[in-house]
Amino acid sequence: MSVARVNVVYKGNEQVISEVRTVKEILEKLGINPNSVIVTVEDELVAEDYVLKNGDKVKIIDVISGG
Amino acid sequence: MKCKKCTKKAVINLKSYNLSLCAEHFEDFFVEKTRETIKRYKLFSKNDIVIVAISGGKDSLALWYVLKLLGYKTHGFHIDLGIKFNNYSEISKQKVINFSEKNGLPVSIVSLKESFGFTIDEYKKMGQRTACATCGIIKRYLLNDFTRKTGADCLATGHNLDDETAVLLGNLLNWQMGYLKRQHPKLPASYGYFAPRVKPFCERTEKETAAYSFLKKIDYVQDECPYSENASSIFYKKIMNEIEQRSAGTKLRFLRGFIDNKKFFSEERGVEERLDICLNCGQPTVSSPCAFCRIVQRFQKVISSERRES
Ligand code: SF4
Ligand SMILES: [Zn+2]
Ligand SMILES: [Zn+2]
Repeated sequence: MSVARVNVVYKGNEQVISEVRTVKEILEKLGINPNSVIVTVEDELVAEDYVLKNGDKVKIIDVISGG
Repeated sequence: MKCKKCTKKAVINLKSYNLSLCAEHFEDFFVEKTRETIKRYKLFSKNDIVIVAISGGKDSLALWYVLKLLGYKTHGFHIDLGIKFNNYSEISKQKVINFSEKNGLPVSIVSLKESFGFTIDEYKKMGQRTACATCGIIKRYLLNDFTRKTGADCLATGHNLDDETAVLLGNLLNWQMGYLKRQHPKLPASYGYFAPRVKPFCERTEKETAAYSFLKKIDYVQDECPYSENASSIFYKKIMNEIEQRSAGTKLRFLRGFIDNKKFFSEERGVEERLDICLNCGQPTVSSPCAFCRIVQRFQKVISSERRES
């Protein structure tokens, strides 16, 4: 598994994250609990072990609501 | 990771079930588990008419969708709260209408402004209570009122496992015995006035309902209500998710354990606290007028004194 450089959108902010292999590693880098989000890559739902490619568009969607 | 049921790529890993599933098999799992919850807690039957409280958020719309798939008779009920910030109420209402039309599901909508002359915004401006405390009273009242008056059998809400365990944790930490007594996936009818309330998603995590809504392309309101101020509920959800991450299945065990041991939190069965009757609307209440009528009256008083001054 080689490392990738990907675009990540989270809470309306876009950022480039490099040196990551899987979605799980992105979440770890950003300190996000996997139970509190769903993640899409190129608009497809993916599990945390999803292996990233250079340039992947990753979206992290918060699922926790207040109230 | 591959789906446990076929060879396709898994889109979700459900650690508490030790299960990775592809989109199709996750959708089946989600619907089947909801069916099991309805059976486990005897929430309602195929003959019942179920009113579904629809906010326009992911949980309520997904619930409505799944209940339809399972063949239950449902009718949606939405309250237009009149919240103008971010166009919140208008967007919510529109999403509810679109969803109902797209799926051929009937919905009734009550506008606070049209029915009672005020909106949550206007009430908030009076600054008497926090918006959520007032809003909660109004929603509970109107949902029960609608369920009763239509003669439906119960009222279903989209509360999920994260909601339920966050509330449970908060109630236990503060030993809120009154609330603990009343927390259950199925609250039976009471006082010959309050309709049964049921929570078919109480064992589905918030992540599952979000994943299901995403896969089913359910167009829900993503923005939070601008008045959302329940920071403690979000805090408790975070804590529960931390524990879940260390020990998968904790949330479900926590809720089920509580329900199995419910007797420790209940009074003698069948004994209802004595209540008065609201002289204005007839609802059983600790003291008349009931909380809802007091809100309406307070607003009308402010309006009429403003008129006199101008
Ligand atoms: S967040 Fe508060 S004000 Fe907004 S809809 Fe929920 S209860 Fe009402
Ligand atoms: Zn599969
Ligand atoms: Zn009343």
